[in-house]
Amino acid sequence: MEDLKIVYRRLDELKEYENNPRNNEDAVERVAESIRQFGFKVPILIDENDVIIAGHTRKLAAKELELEEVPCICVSDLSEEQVKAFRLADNKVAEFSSWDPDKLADELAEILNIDMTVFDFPDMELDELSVSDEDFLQDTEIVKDRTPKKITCPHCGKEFTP
Amino acid sequence: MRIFLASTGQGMSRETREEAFQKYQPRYVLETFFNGEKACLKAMQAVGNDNFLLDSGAFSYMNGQKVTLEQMESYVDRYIDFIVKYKVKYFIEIDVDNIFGLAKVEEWRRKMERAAGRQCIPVWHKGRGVEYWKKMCREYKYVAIGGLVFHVKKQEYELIKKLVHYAAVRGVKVHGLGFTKTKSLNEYEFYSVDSASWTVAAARGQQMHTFNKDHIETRQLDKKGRKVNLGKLVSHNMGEWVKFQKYMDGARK
Repeated sequence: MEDLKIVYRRLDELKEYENNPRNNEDAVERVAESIRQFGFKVPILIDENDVIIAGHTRKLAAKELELEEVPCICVSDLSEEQVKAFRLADNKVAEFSSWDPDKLADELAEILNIDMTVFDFPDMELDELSVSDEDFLQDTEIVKDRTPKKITCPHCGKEFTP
Repeated sequence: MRIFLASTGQGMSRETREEAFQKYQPRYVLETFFNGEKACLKAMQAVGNDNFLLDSGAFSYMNGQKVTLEQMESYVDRYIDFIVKYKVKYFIEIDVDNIFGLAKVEEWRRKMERAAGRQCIPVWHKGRGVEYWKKMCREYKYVAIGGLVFHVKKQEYELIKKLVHYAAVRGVKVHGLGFTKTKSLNEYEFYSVDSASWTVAAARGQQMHTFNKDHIETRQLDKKGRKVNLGKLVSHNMGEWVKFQKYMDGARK
């Protein structure tokens, strides 16, 4: 495996990939908070032309924090197509993971001096159910009247069920 | 989110169905026991046990006929035998509370779980009440919400969102039974849903479904002067829903 080398790039040197299919806006503030609290610990992946492969949100967060330069890893061993594929795959794979709520609660309980609220972790204590049976329509309101309708003949006036 | 295609045995001839499965390779399939052991086994074999959901089909069984408790017990026994014989991983309880009462449903649930050696997927209906939802979320890792097709009204969907969220933050997976609103699906934290609309809409309404970016679009085919090949249409719709399955796979709110 090739050794990864960290290089530093000024923010204005980094080029966002023009067709980046991820909508990152909602994540920028949280990533910025993470960088503010813990430092810039995950480098941005770039190709040989300084186009971002992975790390668009980190770049936007760095801009918000007015950082001048950021750590990057320059990827030179992938073809153009592999870079395209990796850019998508790297984002997609994370979607398949989920939280173990019990372990998560244990971990959060041990973090006492760092404000974690900005990261929007679900809080089982706070996420109580604000729904009651009365909020639902009663069955009498939702069951459709299934008794067959009677029609009156306009000529003879007799009622009949079609 | 897992999108299960329901009723894959309907709307197509055997040949067309086999071709469609071969061509589109659906990822997740739900089959109802009412359609018979053969159909269930075929569906399970097509996608594998991990990607197969078995529904009791008890409502369909009772549809339009008076079913005695003895007949229902016999249906339940056959359902359990199938689950045990083929080691079905994900099976839905027999949620006929409104006919036989919740106590009986719970009795069948226990019987089923004892025989299978694993938990079933209990189904919550409005009639069970909110406290029962909380109880299900405490006791089960995978639960379902039923009645979404006929009994939950538009104004109640916000409540459903809250119920699903309550489960999701507790790590409980929620299946939305018959949830076909593809445009708003991402607003819910369902782990999985199923829909038969891809085949029902084609077979009964000659509707063509098309996957468009992030949802399914429906178009009514012009019947004038043209004979629609329904089997072909159902097969086409399956292909579009498989695209939707792939798109939604892994997507979380």
